[in-house]
Amino acid sequence: MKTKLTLLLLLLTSLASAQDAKAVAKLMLDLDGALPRLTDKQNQGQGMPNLSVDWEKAVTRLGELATRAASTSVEPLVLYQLGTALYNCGQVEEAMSTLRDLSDRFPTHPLVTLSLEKGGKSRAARALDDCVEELAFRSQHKVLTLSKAQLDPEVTATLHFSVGDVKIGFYTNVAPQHVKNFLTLAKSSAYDRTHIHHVAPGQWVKLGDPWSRDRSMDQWGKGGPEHVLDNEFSRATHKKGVLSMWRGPGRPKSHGSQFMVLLADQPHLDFVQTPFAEVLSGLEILDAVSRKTRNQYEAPAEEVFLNGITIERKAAGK
Amino acid sequence: MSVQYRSWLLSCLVCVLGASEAGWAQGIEDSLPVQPAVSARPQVPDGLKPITAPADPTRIRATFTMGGKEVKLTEQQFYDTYLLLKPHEERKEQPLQPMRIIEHILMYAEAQALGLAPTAEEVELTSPLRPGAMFADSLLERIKSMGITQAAYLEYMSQGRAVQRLKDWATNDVRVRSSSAFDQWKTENHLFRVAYVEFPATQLEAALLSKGATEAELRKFWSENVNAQNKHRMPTTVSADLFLFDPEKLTAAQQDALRTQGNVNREQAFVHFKKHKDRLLQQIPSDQRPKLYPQPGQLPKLPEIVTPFDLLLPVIQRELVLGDPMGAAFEKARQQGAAIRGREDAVALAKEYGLQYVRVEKQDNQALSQLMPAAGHQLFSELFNAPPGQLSNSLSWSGVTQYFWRAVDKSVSALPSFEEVRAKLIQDWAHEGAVIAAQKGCLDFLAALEQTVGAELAGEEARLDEEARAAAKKEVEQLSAENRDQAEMIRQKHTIFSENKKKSLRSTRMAEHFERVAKERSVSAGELPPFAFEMMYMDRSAISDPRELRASFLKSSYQIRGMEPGQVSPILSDIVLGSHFVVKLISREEPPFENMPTADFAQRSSGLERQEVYSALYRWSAQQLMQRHGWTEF
Repeated sequence: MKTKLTLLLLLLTSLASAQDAKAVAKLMLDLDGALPRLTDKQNQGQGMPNLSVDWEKAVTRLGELATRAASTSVEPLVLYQLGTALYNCGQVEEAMSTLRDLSDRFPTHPLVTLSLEKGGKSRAARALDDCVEELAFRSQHKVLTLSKAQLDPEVTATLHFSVGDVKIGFYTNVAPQHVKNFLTLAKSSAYDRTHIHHVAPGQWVKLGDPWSRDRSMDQWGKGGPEHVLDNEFSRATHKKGVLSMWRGPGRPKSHGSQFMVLLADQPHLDFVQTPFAEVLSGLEILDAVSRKTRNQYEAPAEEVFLNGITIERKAAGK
Repeated sequence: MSVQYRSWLLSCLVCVLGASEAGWAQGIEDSLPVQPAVSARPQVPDGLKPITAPADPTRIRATFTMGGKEVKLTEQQFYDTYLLLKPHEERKEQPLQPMRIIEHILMYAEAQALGLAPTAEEVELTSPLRPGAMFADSLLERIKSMGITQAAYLEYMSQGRAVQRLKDWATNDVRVRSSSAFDQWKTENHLFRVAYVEFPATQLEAALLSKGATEAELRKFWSENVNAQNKHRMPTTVSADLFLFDPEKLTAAQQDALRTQGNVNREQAFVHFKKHKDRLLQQIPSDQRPKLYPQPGQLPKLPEIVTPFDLLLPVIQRELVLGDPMGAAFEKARQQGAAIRGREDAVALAKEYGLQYVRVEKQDNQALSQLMPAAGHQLFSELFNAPPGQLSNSLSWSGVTQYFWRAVDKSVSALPSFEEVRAKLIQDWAHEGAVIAAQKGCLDFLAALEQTVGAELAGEEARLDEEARAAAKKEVEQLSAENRDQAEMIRQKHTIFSENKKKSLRSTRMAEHFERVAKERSVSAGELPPFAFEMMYMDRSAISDPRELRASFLKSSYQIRGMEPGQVSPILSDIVLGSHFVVKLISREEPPFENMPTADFAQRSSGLERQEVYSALYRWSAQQLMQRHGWTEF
């Protein structure tokens, strides 16, 4: 009888440990999914800049995972990644306490003890060094952080193209001057009857040049108002659907009127041009335009006009 | 598409292709002469030898360090890894190479060391062969046919997953310090403080002007100075009669005078609209245009709906009421042809039809573009290509203005004679002479400085030369360089070292005497408050204040940017200001962090981040891994 009970106990224990091992494996897979950057083959060679990654989202996901992974072998791994995500969010103190927690509670973990480079430090030690250095710097200087772009709930606009309407919302909180400039130009009908003058199939369309209204095609894209705008960089990234004020090669400031509508993510433009608005509906119309036959000036062979822009304000009506 | 249908389609395609290819090949073979069989081509190119089973499996092939511990790798372990990768990665004419095996071994060892290798349970969870997984059976059959066991397949998947996880971790393990972004920025934004002596040409120019130039001097200047010739070169110009009609600029009285009929009814207007639709559509007032595009869900009531015709009705009515004076005038001008001889005839024609008349007299391309912004370049080109007296082929539009032209004259770019420019030339001559004289003054100042310093440093420079000779001699002897060329190269090397030391010494000593020599020679000296380097203005001719011009020149000088504190520059010439400078860099300080604009901070941080991610992506080559882990092969 006693032997039978022992066998049963052993069986139950092994079953429980198998369940635990399975849960740990699932946690490990979740951790893989929570990492904001993945180096699959498509991504090789495309180093995304820091602010293109939504680190807040990563912190939320990793934080949840840290709770679930408590007291498992996955916990130190999650804590390490959480520390890095917090650092990149600008929450350096929290990052440091998370990494200290890792070092204190898992002193024998390879992340804490192992140095892979000759004479180097462990990963946790290097991350802690970064935190200490950053905090010391921040105690002496006010490090400015960029704001996150939000769509203005008060104002939207509709771009009436000859092929259909495209509705856009504005990032007034991060690019006020660009938005003001666009609305002023739209109001004064400066964009009316201008052409889409340059396209890259599936990538972007460029428009907003007053010279494209009545000048010959070889002049399109070379005109504009007499003013330029200071860059207004923010955490608004050049993702699909964004309207970004054109800057042009070798020019330090934003062009006064020409802009691009992005039909795919263009991270290389981050901190080069200023995104100021986002397409709310109708992006597929421009995508279709971009894929049509082009002429020798890279403009759509079948001319596409911006007939006019209607501005809609929530409070004051149209 | 059903599976059966797809298989049927595929077999049909194979049959057709096979048959046609066979037929084509047969046809070609029949028509070509017999070629010798190609048989000597090796299957594997030289240097790409397949890996074979080791003769001594227990032999240590290599050692490497992982986490401070030495790891020994036997020949058998190496060969086992090869066998694991081979079915998945080896190609017929591209056998797996040892470097790829080493790369995999080291990456997997690194992943294991960091605790990133998947557990058996994880492999089981993600295995494509697990019970219930899609296509598990067909995959199993396929790997069996390739000679891979299930266990080997799972091991390959597991190791691949570990390596991928290691790479993912590296790209996420990137942190940028604000201090690094600032360090990078501050090196490009140092604050410079400089003292300078200036040799302006303005005073000298006034003196030369008051003195005046002889005939011979001016003639020589005109024949030799290309800049002066280009300045006074006469551009290509055209002269023409322009007949313009802008209905929006007409006064009420002018409109009444032109009125040909009373009110126009809708039908008449619509006929006119259809006839001139393309042109009229471009004349919809901008503020009215959005009315054509009501928002979905906010559609206007039926009476409020407008069409382009409705918006253009006032324009159409105006055109009809005023008639077509432009068309009539153009027709008459065409009929008269050569009868329009001079300005009086043209003015009379314009007056008769209520048109605006403009006589363009010897205007170049740029001037004409300013007169007619929308059509200037095109108009210039048309007039230049038309013989005098020719009328334009058709009526044209420049915005809302309708026009036609009559070419009168044209002249091609040419160099004027000396007599024509003589009066204007004296100014250029004086300016040029003053700039050269100022340059000479500047060079004299530098020579005086050099002389003072040269006398002081004569002994020290001789010592440096002697040291260089001795060092060269010693090196030649040590290397027993018998080759004359080699010995000469060694001597030259030491001479260059010595010259650089002398240059630096001279520059530093010249800075010490800078103010004294300037005072002795009564040269105007000045100092600029600390400034950051600026990009040169594209067009400084717009700046009128000489102080501002001087500051913008010095602030954008790359020469000054490359100097060390306490050094003196060579001669720096500003063409716009007409001055020459010699500059002493007093100090070069780091700017405070608060000077760094947010946009720059964001740019630098993201640039560093990008750089780090790039390094993380490319740190997995065999060479880098071997170096990182001290790979030693026996």
